[in-house]
Amino acid sequence: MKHILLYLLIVFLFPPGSIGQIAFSDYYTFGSNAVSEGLYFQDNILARYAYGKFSLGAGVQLTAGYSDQQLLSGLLLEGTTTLFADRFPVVVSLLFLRRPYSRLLSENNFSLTVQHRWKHLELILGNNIRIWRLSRNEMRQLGMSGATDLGITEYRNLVYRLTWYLKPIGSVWNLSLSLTDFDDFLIQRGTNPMLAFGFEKVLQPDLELFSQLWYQGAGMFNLQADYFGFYFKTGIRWQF
Amino acid sequence: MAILKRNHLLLLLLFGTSCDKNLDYKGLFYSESAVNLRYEESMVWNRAHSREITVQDTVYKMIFTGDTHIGGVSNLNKVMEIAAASGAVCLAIAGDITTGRPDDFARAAVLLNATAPYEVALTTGNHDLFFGGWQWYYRYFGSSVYTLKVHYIQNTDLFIFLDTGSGTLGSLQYAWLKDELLKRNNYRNVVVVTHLNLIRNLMTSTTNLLVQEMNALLDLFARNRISMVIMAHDHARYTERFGNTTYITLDALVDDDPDASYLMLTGGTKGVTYRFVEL
Repeated sequence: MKHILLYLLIVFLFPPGSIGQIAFSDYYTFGSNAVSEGLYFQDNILARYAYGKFSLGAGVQLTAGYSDQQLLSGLLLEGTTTLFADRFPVVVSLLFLRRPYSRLLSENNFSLTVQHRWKHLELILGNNIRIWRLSRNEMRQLGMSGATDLGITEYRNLVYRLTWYLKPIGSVWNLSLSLTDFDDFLIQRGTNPMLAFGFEKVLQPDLELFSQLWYQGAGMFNLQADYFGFYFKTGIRWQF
Repeated sequence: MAILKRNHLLLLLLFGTSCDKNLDYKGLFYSESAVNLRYEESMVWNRAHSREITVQDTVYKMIFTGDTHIGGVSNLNKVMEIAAASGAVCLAIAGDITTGRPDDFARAAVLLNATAPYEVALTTGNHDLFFGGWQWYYRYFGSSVYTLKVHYIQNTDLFIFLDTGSGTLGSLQYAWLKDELLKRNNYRNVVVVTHLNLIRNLMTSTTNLLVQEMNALLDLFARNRISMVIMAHDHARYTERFGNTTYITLDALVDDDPDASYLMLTGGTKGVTYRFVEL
């Protein structure tokens, strides 16, 4: 079923006859945190179509075993373009990320970021607006049909990632260390940085294996620091 | 471009809010008393001390404040006098009571443990945990995670005090909170009190809960018809309504704050209402 949905997504986004490059990423995550109530498991699927300086991406995240979190936990759409390609290439990205938590609550994010890569470094900076919504239908089901304030908009939030690579970016294998407040299906508040240790290995010219270990601290650098959680993800990226 | 410059500055601010003598730099990276430990010690204390107030009326008043940052006690003294004169049944401080230093805890204890015509209800803020402050908090005030029940004619309201001083409830406190809310229907109104403000209405270098925890709590509070969530931390008054819940961030009560105020809550059979009162 998963593969049929993926196929339909591809056909919809990238109709036959179009010219460009298609890339996929499928990875599994398991982890635990203060509110997950045990170990959780996620399947993450991302597809991207690149044409010249532009690309369009979409992704789905499914979660199991995480407290009250529903199965479909993430949907993303992203468009990118590359500017100043000859002198100082900067990738500008516009992203929409929807994170349904339950039938009652969902989180919607709109982000604008710019990215630049050096030989061993990658820097991403941007802004994010987050809107939490309560479902009117679900409120009615819960006997709270009178509530009228069903949204909270959070003021602009800093989005950042600084990644250092042991070997030059694009090497056959590499190790990396990132300080960031976002991942594919998660955008933290800027004051909650996460640490990620990564490994990647090109298996074939069009196929790459990657693994990442993420540490999430609470109150780091700002309050009394504490442990919040961790997750490990591993999967493949391939393109054709 | 201006936005990018400001973001760059905020990124730098992440690595230390300021060179403040009241900031525990070791604590920014490591906690001597993790939140799960504080929860367990609080539960030990709770088993020997229940907190209940009985009011022979259909309404009652409570005063809420936060960020007293003792040191100075001038504003706190004023509010304690007002609490005594107003007939409030409880004075609650939503964290950052002290700087975390032992002499400031001792000074706070002299004031807050003195006999008064109202109950005192406290919880920790991040500053109370600095410099190994938890041992002093626990010695003088006991639990940072507990419930306070207010019984009045025909009804009971529940006040849940949470410890978010280190940026998370932690797994044990979160599980306890969910268990407590299974009994939601036993109460007319339920109010949650915590130091960290959940909702951010400004671009800030102060830290709040992680987004996964925000989602879990927003869902839990909406689903359980929490009447009010009273918070502090940002030193700037803010209110937001989400579902049937009113989220309130308090002003600071620290002596040098020109906007110092407290919140007067009125509870009863008609629900809970509030008003801010400037000093």
